Amino acid sequence: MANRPTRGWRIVGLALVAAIMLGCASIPDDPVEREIFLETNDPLEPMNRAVFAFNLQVDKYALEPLAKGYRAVIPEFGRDMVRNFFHNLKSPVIFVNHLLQWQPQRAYETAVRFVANSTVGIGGLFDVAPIEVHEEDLGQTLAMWGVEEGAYLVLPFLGPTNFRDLTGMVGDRLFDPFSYLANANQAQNAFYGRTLGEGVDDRSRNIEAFNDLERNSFDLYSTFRSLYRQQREFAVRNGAPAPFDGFGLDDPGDDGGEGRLRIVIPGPR
Amino acid sequence: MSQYISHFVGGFGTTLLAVVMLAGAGTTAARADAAAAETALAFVRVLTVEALGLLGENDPDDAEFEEQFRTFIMKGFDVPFVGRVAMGTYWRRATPEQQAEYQVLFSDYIVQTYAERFRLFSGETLEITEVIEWDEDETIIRTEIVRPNDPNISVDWHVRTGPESSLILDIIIEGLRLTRTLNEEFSNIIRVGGGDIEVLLQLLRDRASGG
Repeated sequence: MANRPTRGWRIVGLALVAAIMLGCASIPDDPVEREIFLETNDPLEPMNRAVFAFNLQVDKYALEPLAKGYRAVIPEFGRDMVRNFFHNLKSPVIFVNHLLQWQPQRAYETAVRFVANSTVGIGGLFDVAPIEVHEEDLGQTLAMWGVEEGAYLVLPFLGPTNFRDLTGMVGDRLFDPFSYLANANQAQNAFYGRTLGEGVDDRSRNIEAFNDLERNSFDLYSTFRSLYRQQREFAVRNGAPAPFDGFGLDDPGDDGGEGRLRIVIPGPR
Repeated sequence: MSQYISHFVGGFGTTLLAVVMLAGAGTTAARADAAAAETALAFVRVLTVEALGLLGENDPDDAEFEEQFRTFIMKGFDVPFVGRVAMGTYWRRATPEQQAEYQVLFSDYIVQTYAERFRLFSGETLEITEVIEWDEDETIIRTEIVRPNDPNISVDWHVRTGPESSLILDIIIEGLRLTRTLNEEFSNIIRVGGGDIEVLLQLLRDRASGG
């Protein structure tokens, strides 16, 4: 019984399929529109926009107030401890992904950080290791292996992602010792608590920036999509600049060009 | 997850002013042989001195500060280029009248948005890490904002060196490119608006009139 999807999950699955079918945008006929449509990589835009609007409401009534309260009540050093703790908790997953991408040096650095911060740093509350922080996840590993990003996707509560990164997120959970510890101790809520905690901490560090974007952006959805995709490409390159053969954008005012705007997005390798 | 948002927004504020630090920063890390690269570097340094001058003004009111900031931006950045790239391929479909009106509105928008961010600067140092010659007249200056308690923020400057003057074409903060971000917002607004350039123009007009 436990192995079969429950009725509830079946309904969720059906709803998801229906949403995707209804949420698909059709490919435009106009050449310029088609080009933009293909470049933004967002065939599920109508559905994504609806989820994004939902998330903004969640943010307005729950996440932002929580983050503000958190920032008002907990002093900065306390919040830094929280951030260090959550980041330290991610280290095993980051370590595995270094190995999957065959980056022994970075794997070593992350391992040393983890050991030092977990012991001397009292369970990760203090960042005592004088070593650069690395961020890796399975989404980035898949990109290194040549997997395309897949369509852009906005998840309820969790926000922007794409099909590759979503796959990575599920996979990362499978080799996260934290999941097993939580499951073994019947403490599945710990997992949600961690996700919520990370979300609140993260949001508390972005209150002014978020307000600024909300005020100055004409289309917040497009801005978030653009920032998410650029940030992921940058993470996959581990901070290297975009390859210089395609650095920059063609000037549409330049008549000598081939007549189209070319945004060269560096591939993952 | 949303850390990149604050880099993007905070970054522009901090960067523009952090540039100030370039004036005094040693550039031993820079390996630039070509004349264009050296000119670009010198140009960015001069810009920093001007930014410092802007900051030094004793607390002008908002309108006054915006005017000074506008002069600074227009001199240091190729704003018309950024504007064209932001509109993307639709630029070619716009009438000359629309193009002219758009460029005026666009520069107002940039000045307003970034004057505000610029003022939020709190002292941080900026180090030049690399100078890359990309083209005979284009240079990438890679820098890092050094923060004591947080990871560094990488900022790349895309500079074009002309016969008489240099201009910044683009800023890339932690991989987030100013032109691309604007382009993916603006061109999408026109696309969703059925390809009508007026839709974008109207948004900019509303913004300009305080809406």
